[in-house]
Amino acid sequence: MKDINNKTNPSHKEVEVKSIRVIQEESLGKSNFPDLNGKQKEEISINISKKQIKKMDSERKAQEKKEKEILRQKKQQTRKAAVAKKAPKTKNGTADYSTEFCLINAGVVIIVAAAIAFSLIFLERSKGTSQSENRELYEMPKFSFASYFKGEFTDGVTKYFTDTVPNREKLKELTKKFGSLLGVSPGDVSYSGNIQSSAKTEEKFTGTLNESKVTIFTGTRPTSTETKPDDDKTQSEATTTTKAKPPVSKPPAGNDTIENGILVVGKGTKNVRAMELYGGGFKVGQNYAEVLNKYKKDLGEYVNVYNMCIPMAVAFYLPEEFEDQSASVIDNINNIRSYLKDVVDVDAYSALEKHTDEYIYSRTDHHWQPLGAYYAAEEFAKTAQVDFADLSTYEKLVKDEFVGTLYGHSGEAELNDNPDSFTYYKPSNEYTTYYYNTDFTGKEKSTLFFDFATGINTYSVFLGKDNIVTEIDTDVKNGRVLVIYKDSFGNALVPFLVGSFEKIYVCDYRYAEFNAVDFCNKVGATDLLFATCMFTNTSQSKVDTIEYNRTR
Amino acid sequence: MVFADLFFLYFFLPICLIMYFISKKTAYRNIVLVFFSLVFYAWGEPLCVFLLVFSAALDYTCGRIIDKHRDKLPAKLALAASLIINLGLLGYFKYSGFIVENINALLHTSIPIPKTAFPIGISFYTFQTISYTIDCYWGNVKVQKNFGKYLMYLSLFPQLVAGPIVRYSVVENEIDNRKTTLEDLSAGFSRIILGLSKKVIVANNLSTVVEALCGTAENGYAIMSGQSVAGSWLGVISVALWYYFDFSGYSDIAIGLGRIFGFKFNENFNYPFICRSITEFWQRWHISLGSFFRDYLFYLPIFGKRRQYVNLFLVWFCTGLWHGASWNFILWGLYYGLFILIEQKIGKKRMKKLPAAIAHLYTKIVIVVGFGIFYFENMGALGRFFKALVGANGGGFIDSKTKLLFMNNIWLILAAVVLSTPVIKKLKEVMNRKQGTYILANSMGVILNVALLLISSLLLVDTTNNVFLYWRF
Repeated sequence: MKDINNKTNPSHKEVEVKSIRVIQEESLGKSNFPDLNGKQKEEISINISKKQIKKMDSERKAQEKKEKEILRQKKQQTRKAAVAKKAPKTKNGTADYSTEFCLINAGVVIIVAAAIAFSLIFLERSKGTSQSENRELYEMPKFSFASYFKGEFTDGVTKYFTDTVPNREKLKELTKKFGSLLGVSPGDVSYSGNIQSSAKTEEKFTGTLNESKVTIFTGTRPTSTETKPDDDKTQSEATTTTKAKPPVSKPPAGNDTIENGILVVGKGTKNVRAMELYGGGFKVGQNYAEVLNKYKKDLGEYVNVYNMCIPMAVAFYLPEEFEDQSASVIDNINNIRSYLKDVVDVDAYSALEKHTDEYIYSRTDHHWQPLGAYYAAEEFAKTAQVDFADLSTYEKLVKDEFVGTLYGHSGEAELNDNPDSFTYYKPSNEYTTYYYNTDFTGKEKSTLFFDFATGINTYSVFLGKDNIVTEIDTDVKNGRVLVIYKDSFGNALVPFLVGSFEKIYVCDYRYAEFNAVDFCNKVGATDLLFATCMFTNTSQSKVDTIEYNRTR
Repeated sequence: MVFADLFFLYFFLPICLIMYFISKKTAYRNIVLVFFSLVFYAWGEPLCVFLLVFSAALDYTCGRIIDKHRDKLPAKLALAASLIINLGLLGYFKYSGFIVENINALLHTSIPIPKTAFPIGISFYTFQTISYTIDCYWGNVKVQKNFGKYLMYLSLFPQLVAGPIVRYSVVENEIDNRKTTLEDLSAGFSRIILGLSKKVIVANNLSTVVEALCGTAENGYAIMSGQSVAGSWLGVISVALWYYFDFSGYSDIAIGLGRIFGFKFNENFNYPFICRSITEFWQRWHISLGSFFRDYLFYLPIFGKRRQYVNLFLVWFCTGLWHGASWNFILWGLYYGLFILIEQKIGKKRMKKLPAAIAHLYTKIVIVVGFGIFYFENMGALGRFFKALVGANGGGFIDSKTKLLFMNNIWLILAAVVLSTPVIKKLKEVMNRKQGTYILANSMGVILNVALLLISSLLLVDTTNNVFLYWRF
């Protein structure tokens, strides 16, 4: 191979030629072309110019014998010569480097795969909580025959392996970025339907609304709860004798589940915003209103029952051209209002509507911002005729880098790149916070705010979690005792009411393990506020749960 | 275990390959394969792995009996036993719930619906083991006298859980005599990466479009009640592409793995969407299943002169039923049977004379609507789907979400359409004709392999076990 007869072709790059020939030689030596191996030591000089190559076809027959010998001398050929005559040929007449390419291909793939396998197996695994998904990563399962035969062990190992990939969070961000390469976002909007797609209801509200008044009563009640000579109460007691079963299994602790398509608007700007589309439902809304009416009936005239339908971001930030994708939030709220009887409505929608150019909803999370809750709480205080502290009296705190649930659910990388800042407010008056278990036992003194909440959990800076009962004793002396039944939206309201009520109890309708009416009577509630978002109020299973809290 | 999973790709497979290739003799390699195949299956089915071994033992024994008593009564009994037990097991595990449901509905009885665990891959390996015994009986293959080798054939993990349905005759010689050449290794890896990319990059992303436009079984496909015409067509086209990329991707991985171990499985897909008749579609789609029914069911001379129609009906009924214990699958099978019957009546020659555009339009519409029947597993939803296709549900022609989804996934959808045709294959052929482009094509191939492997692996990080669609069949 050292003797290169390349004189007539000085334009060849010798280095390249050499390297190709080395590979050829190596692989040829491995018996793929055994007929070529015999006389490799012979040396044959060939002089082939570019012009000659073109004449090759005519020369072919004459040179056939010579060619055969030349073929055996591959190591002395130039690449052009190989193209023309000497290398083994494919059907198409080109030189066949298939062995070389097989070697390169297999070699490269093995090296890359081995590198990935090595890093997957030997680098430090991820563990603990996934910030972006708000869940614990899988742990290596313990082996037992029982778990093995149930398939739990092997399944657990597979999940553990995938879930604890080294550098998981960073890799996941890359994954999300890849998603945006699959298409374009016209008008800077994208849709994620990877959870479920809701069927939107086509209902328009055209009815009229009735109003209920608030009774302020803080004195001793004429009758104790046990001997209340109220027909309604007797009636409802009759219904409670047979204990109803929970209508739905408890939701997983933590966040509300996101069940709808997510629309991401304003892509390519700092104000990229995700919102969950809304399905609506007039019939369920009516059921919800009727459940609240029953609460009012059970609690009687001395307890004010309020309904606050909390709108979601989609109510205010849905681009006009996508209005066919989401039911109207205000129409559904009005529908609920129209069925309320003696229940006082708190018009959070109108209160928020005036401030849509302020930061009242998170862009990356399905919750509102505390500022939004402030305007809603202000409206509630006005309705309930209690004092309300102005925002300027609060201590303002800011948490940056808040990337909420909608990032994980939509897979929209831009949300991660443009986090929310989360501004919350601490009241200035004196108060003490206690937490109970969900069965209203195990009272413990704690704080109202959990300042260490970060990442996707930033919103749980209020109350910490949902599966508790909260009691707040304030320095307000107006005799008003407020019970709030809420979903996670309601959490943000609580701090703004600390200056308005003497006592506040906060129950999550999904976790409370007691009869809500009994509870209100027990704690001497003067006001009962239902503060839930419209997803809750038009979801039959959730409305069933609210009703179950009354009848259990 | 599934193929599109980091644990399989970067833990199980490397160990298996190392063990396989450090064993020099084929006999040892066979032992390695049996061991890893059983581990592979037991990983997902720790109990049903015994069922697999039982099936292997059953047909191994039947094969021996048939061989020993050729053409005599014991041979016939052995064949009958194999058929009855194998199909009985398949029927019990896959169809008992469905059968009881239908009996209850028909006779207004209330027999409790049996809840049987569904052993993954039972539809595939049952057919394989049956094909062996029948081929033994017909004298098409030599009997396998070594149980270990037969177990290796049946349990071979590349094709165990989701096909292709590899017949014994295909791998008969390779069980004892096989070599992995450098070319096998290279082509095998390329094929695995191709299959993986089809599944992870294309199919998984298409599935989000499908779910957004067609809904899922869990929510009763609710969205179809108001879906627009464009939305339902885009949805069902995505369904067709999704199934193709998912299933053919799995077959690619299976064939690639087989190749690395020195087996040459038959192709299972041959660009089905370029077909010009429905008959041709089935010669290109899930070839191993179609040919199984053709060879073992259609040509059975049991129905005499009326055989053509009865057998045609039977084949397509079974093809549908094979895909699942639900009426929509049966309907789907018969739907294809109907078009194949019509095409037979028209005649091959006249079918060929159809202008290309009309032939393509006809076949694509039939296929796409067919995948709708396949996708919507309850009859109510199927009805809503048909209404939506023609706009009879008041959903309008197009809605903003459909437009948005289409634009958000336009490159994905275009790529899927293009890659479902032999464009790349043709391009490669053209490039191979000239030296310069030949080098370029092959170099690009290597680079593409690395890129696709990296992207697929990356996308796998964010999946907690993404199951292949054809697992349930």
